[in-house]
Amino acid sequence: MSKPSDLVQGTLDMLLLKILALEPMNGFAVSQRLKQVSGDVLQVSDGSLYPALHKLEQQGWITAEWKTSEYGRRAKYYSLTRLGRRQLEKEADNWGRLSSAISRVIKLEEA
Amino acid sequence: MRPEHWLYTIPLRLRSLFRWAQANQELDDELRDQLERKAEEYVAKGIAPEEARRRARLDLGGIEQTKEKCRDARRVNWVQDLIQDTRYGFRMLRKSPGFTAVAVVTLALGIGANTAMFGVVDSALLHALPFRDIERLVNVWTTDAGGDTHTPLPDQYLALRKYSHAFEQVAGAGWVDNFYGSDESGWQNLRGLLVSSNWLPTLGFQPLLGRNFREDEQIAGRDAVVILSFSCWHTCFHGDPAIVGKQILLNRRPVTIVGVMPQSLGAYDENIEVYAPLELESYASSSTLRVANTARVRIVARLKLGAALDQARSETESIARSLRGATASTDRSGHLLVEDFSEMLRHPGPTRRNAQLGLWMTAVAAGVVLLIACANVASLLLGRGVKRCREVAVRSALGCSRGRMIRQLLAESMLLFLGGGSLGLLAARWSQEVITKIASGIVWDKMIVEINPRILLMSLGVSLLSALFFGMIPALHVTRVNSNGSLKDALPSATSGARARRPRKLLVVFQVALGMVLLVGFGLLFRSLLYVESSPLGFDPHNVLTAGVSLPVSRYSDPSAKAGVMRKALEQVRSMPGVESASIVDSLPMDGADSARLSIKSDSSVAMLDETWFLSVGPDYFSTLKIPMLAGRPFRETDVREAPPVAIVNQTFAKRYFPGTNPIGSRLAFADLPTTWREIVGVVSDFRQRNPEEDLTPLVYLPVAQTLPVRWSMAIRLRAASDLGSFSTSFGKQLQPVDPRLYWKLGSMQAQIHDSESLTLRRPIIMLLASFGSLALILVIVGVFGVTSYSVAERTREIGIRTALGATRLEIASLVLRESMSVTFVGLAAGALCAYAMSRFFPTEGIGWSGSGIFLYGISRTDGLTYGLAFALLTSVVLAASWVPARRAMRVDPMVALRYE
Repeated sequence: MSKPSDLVQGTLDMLLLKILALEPMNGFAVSQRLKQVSGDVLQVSDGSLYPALHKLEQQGWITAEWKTSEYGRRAKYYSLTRLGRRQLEKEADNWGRLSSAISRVIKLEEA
Repeated sequence: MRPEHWLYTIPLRLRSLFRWAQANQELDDELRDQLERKAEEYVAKGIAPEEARRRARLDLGGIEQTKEKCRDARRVNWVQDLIQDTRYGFRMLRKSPGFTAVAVVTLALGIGANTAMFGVVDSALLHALPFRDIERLVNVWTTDAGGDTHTPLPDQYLALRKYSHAFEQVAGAGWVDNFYGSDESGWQNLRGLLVSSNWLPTLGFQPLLGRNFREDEQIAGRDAVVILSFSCWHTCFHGDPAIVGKQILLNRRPVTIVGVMPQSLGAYDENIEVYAPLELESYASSSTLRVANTARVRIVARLKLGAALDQARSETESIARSLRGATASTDRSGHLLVEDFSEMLRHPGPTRRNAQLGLWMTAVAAGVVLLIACANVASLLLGRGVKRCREVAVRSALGCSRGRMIRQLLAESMLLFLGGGSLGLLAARWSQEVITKIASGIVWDKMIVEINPRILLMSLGVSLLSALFFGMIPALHVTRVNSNGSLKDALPSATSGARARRPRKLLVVFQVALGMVLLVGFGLLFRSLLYVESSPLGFDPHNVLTAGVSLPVSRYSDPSAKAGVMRKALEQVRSMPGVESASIVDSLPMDGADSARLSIKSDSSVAMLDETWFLSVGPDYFSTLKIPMLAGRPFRETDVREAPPVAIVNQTFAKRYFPGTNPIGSRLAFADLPTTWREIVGVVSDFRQRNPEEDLTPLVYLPVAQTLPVRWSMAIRLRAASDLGSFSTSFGKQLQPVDPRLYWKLGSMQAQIHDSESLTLRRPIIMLLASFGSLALILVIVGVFGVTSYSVAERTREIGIRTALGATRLEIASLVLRESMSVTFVGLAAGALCAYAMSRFFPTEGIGWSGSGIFLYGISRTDGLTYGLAFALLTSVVLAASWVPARRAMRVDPMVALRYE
């Protein structure tokens, strides 16, 4: 399977928000989980992940907290804020409309 | 953005700003954590630990870049940059204290001059009426038969107070009158104003000390109270804090001081020193004024909250209509006009307009000084920039963007300008008092200028704006490095100099041009002042003393008493040794005159003329001032009340109304008086009555014995050899027996001219322009010196080569001088053109009577001498400033110069 190079513009934010909506987790876990739930189709490079997370944090959509993990390791855990949840709903909505519209176009019967 | 959003973001931004180090540490920790986990993951897949860590780093794609991207997400990076730039700039400036000192002091001069001038403009023009709710204040005027506006009459004032509902307050003020203390008190001739008890509350002022007048103090017998002005309290009573309640003798009558006014009433001040209650009954009957006038009351009123101006207008007009009664329909007199109070500032009279124009002009001159100062600093920065080319080239090779470097250079100039600004503010604080004192003559207010937030804001704004603009020029120029070229190319070499010097040359052109504009402006006004001072007055003011008196109406209402005191005073004076002649006039030269509409009857027809000025003069008045009679006879001792009414007209009057005919024998009458037809018995030569440079205007003279004014002056001509000073002391004693209770204001005709409205307006403007002009000259010298020195330093190698090739010292000097002179001539030409364009703002047309002008007189806008002198002055200044660097160029040793590189 070829590596998906770029995520559709703007969808990375939505995906990160969705992943964090499941439970608070650190950056490493976010990228693991994304890979896992998408069946290895969606991957985000570490170099883009962290700036994206920091951007979401500065926009107030996610918030970060230093916690000690299960193995006694300190890590930065991100979780969704109320604003972030609202933003996620909005973006998921948009995405739903957009993707169904695209599917309709693609599935047109050729004459 | 929603407030909820800020709930999350603001703490984050603050944290990024103030816990900068901690935020960075956390970022490091987070990424290290990521690397460790990633490496562990690879190890778990069976990759060797060393390789696992390498892959983890690779996945992160350049740790520093990722960090920078994360930091960019914080959006407050520019603040960090700014702080960094500022620190760096500060270090750079500290490293070259000489440059910094010159730049900061130059800017301090420019910004200081502007701050001080702005303080004056701010208080004199922008905030001249410091009243509460000024939009609710109105003035009320009345009209005469011809429809001209005048101050209302007492009964109109009383009716408005009684019947109007639109006004919260209707307040009145009488004419300005002179008050005087006891003979030994030293305070004589204080300007006094009679005001109603609600005058202060209407304007919205509180007395500084004590209390306002009470309502019942406006009744005769209870009105022995006064409020002092702030300046009178200071000058006459040394700011005595226990002054309230003290009794003083004023106008020979004991009065109690009940209060002290606030420091300034702004433009409404009128230099009043004593306020007394407007006791209307005796004021209305006094008729203290000259022939045509009865007592009048200036009305200022405050609209009720929510009342419309139109409503007040119609109500006031209906009150006026009921006062006019049946007589109204025939002419336009007796209306009451309600005028928005701030109209006074928006449509100032001609004198005030000239004063404002003069003030704006000096403000512009201060602005020009600032521009010259800024150009100096910009060219200093440019010179420094050339030295820093290597630094700039290195930084740009290391990947620093041009924008970032410009920001850094701007931060440095920002520092310079802010430093100059704060030093300038100090300078302004020191010079403010002097400048305000000079400028008070222009706007005739007692001006109080304090450093207020507006002034602070303005000097900060000027500093930042000029830093941005004048810092941008060198920043753009210096960073214009060809990034493809080698570092060496970026450095100034022996041959690439001319192009690099161009922006500095342009700045010199700019400075010289501005200097030219300032000098020409000053020169034109200064030459005008000289012409005004020497302009022919039409009479001989030398060896003439004056003595003015105002008769108390209570004792001098009877005509024979008034005539008697005049006769007695003249007798006393004429008996003094050294007196050649003496006479009486109701208004001395330079004091103006009263006016009224005039009718002329010649043969059978009656013609109504314009408003015409008239004076009352004694029999020998014209001969005392050496004004020749052109036709007919002067007034005689026999032209008294019982004799037939007569008049004399001046030459302009005769020319205008009797062209080609003889006015003698015709009759004229003033409209405001009970019609008295006066026979014209003579024509007198023209002379100036209000300002030395005024246009000649028609004037009518009436015999003082027929008009009997209560306020008049004596003009006393002494024999040439007499000593004016000693004479005036013995003079007071001589007048004592006339009426020991009268107060005489002594003076001289020359002081009278010196204090004419026009000269008191011109002098301060000239003084301010002169100081700004010399400041500008100094700055131009500094600028030219700096630029020429840099240019010589840069061309050391070139000069060395030329010398080695056999150029003489003279040729080297002329090389340097030619460069700075050619730049200067361009600047002078540009400046002369600008000056010519700007001189259109100077009114050159004649000055009428209704207001004095302050502008060009006796010379044209293109006065060759002024332009020539300014040209010569600037040229020699530039020559002198470039002489030192030129000499340095002459001494360049070719061996040293060529070994340099």
